[in-house]
Amino acid sequence: MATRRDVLKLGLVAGGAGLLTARQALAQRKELVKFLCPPDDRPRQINDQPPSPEARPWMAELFVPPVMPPVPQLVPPPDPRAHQRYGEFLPRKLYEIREQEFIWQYHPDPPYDKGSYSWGFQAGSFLPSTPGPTYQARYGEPVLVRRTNELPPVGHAKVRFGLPSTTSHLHNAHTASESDGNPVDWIDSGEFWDHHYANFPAGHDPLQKLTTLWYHDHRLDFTAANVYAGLAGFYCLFDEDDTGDENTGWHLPSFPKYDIPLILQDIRFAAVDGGAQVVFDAWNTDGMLGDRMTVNRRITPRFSVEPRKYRFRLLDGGPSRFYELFLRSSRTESRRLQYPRFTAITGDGNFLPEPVETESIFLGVGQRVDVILDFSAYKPGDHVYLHNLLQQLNGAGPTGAYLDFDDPATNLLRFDVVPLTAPDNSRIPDQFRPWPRIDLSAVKRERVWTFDYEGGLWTINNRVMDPNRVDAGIDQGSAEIWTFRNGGRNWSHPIHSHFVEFLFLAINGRPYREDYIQDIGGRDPRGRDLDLEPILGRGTRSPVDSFMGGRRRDVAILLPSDELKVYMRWPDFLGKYVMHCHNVVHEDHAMMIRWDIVEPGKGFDQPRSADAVYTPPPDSPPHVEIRPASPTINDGPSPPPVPPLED
Amino acid sequence: MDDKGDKTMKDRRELLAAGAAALPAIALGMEADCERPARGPNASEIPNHVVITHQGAKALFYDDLVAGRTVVLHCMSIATEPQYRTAESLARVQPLLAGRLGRDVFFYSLTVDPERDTVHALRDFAVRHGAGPGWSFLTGETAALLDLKARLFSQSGQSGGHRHGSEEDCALAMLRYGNAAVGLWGSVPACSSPEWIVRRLSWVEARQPAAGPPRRGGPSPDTYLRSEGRM
Repeated sequence: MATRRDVLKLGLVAGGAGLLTARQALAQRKELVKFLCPPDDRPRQINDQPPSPEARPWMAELFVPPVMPPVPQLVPPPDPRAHQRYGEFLPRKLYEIREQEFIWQYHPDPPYDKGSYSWGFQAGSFLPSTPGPTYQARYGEPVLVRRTNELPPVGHAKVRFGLPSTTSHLHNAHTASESDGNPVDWIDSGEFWDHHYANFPAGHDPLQKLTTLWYHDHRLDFTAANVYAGLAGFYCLFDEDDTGDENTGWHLPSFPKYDIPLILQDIRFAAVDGGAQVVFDAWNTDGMLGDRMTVNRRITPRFSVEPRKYRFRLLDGGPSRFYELFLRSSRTESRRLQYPRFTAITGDGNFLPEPVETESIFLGVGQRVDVILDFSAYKPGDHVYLHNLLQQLNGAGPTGAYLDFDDPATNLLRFDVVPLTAPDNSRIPDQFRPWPRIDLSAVKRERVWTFDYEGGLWTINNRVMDPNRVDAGIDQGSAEIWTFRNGGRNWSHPIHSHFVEFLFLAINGRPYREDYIQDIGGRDPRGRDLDLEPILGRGTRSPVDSFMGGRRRDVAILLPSDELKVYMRWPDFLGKYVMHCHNVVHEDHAMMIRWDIVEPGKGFDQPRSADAVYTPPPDSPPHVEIRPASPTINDGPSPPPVPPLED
Repeated sequence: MDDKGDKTMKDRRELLAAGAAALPAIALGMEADCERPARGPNASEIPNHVVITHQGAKALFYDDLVAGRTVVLHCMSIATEPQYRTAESLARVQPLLAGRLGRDVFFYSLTVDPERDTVHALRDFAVRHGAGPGWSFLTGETAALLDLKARLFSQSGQSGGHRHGSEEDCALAMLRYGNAAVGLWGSVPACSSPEWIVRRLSWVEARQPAAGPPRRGGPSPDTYLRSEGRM
């Protein structure tokens, strides 16, 4: 290699001398003319690329991730000094999870049948999977998760687009900074990180409890690539009401048999060497769309259900697509049977005050809605179909148009009704729990965050992510009012802030009412009136056509020109966190800020360098320094030359 | 694949050895038609257009400049530099790379204004920014530069793309960094600190598989000490 480079370097100098023979000059002209040789006819963006190989719908079985098994001990043991408040929340369960590369079966049809290289998680005796195993956690039961990066290092991984250097964020969790999966808290191949999940509600307020969380990679610059490669899974948090047992508490359908997490991800594939491999476009900055809809990483799968109630935890796993989910069945004798409704019980991580019946569920990336689907009116042999009717053509967001149920692009999942095996003891309670209280007297600061674009980068208040700049210093225990403002008129951004959920105060200047459900039914992102009747063939509309989550969320959907005002409070821990666009392609192109919880009285309004906020130890708060996990390019000898990879 | 790549290199070396010392030989080594072996994981994505460096040398963008290397690519023009200051940023990165720039790490600054950013103008610009070996400012035929820009930096595909008040939206505030030998690419704001830009180049470098039992990567063992008494 060096020889050739040296030659080239020498050549560059010689070429600069401009001594050309007539023959060379002629040849040079010829070369300049052939500048339009391929690949200029190749697609320029992933969204324009050739379609993935065909995959017949409903041929793959839904993959239901296994329940994460605890381990009796960890070797070496966890280090209590590495965590805030470890002694108060001593782990009662220990887990070991490994990030690995493996061949994943997206679909049984060729060329998918040969499998596709993916990244995911492995635990216990289970095979590695994407999504990874589902945690069954419980309030009052702190856990410690040891996550080991066993991915092949750069130059050895078959998934080339991902960075095998990882940090796992537990999305929605109320955790100490050092366990949060901050974008700069990465580990490289061969290293492990201990995450201490204390499993207590923010401020010990029972109204702050959460239920459906998910874990996913959050590596600086590579979140989109690494999550797209498969690094995601669910974390379900139970308590004495939401017990996971339909015979106790709220009697919600039992976990895990009748309580199923579903991650929706759109993936693009290319036929490679007789197989099908996942395609990622590192050059895309707007948002990537796949053309194969996967549910738990199987392409348009089927799932056998008994004629009874189920709880499905719906999650938009991105990278960039918005969904509006509808149901249709094979039964046509009544409208209610043909177009069953969802009963939404949660919005993002939390229970709604009461269940909401809705025609559709709107999800931005990172959002969750738990729904109850009742198949008891159906007979064995019936089918119920889950569709996404929202049209989206690029990273900008939904176009505002709906697709027809018969369009195969809308297919997500088919439920196949089979005979009942046991009585359904589940119920849907009339009420869950009220929203947490908004205490305006605790508000210490108000901040405005404007989301926009400049020079290929996605900006927040005209700045881009800098892990060493603290954009907001928040007094521990205080509340603040944040305004999320979309500076663009064409782009949608699902905005997520770590650590605590927020409560809406106002949407586009309109004060939020306690009984108000954000409803985009009849309104598309561009403000036009929509009519669902041609799609649903119904005479009248229900009060809520489209459920977009309740008042309390961890993702705020900023539709074009939107302005959302929210209330948040930050008790319990100190340290660094982030707020970002959860269109993870936008996030990786720097639409993210760092904010820190600092000691009471030490908060600040304007961005500061982390070096200015924190003096050297022992006066610095926990885990705020950037961890140089790998030597910089200046350190030590150069790595060995890269062996060429086989294509 | 390996064989093909090696053969191409060998052919080229022979041509270089046999022909004039002048750089155009590199490009002359290519056949007059458009055929070329797909070499490396990004060969099908990165246009292989002929570009001209600020030193007046011609090169095939992918084959000669990018393939097999760790590179930083960005779009610029002399006229827009005062606004985005990407060259200024790279000038600060340059000394941190010490001997590696020009050896196995390369910067390529592609002009989006090839009509005005001539070889001569770019040479002056390079001198003003103290560009050393391994940092090339690239111009050439307008269509070639526009195509490189379209594929690598702008979002103007059939499916819509975006317009943020300018047709010339070209990610002018961003650097692409990558290891073309592996096919791993990321993006970083050009305004990032030089240390963070250099650190990113280390992320995409090939490494040996880890040996021995897993090592503790975090959290930092003094977290408790530093938070003690603060809760």
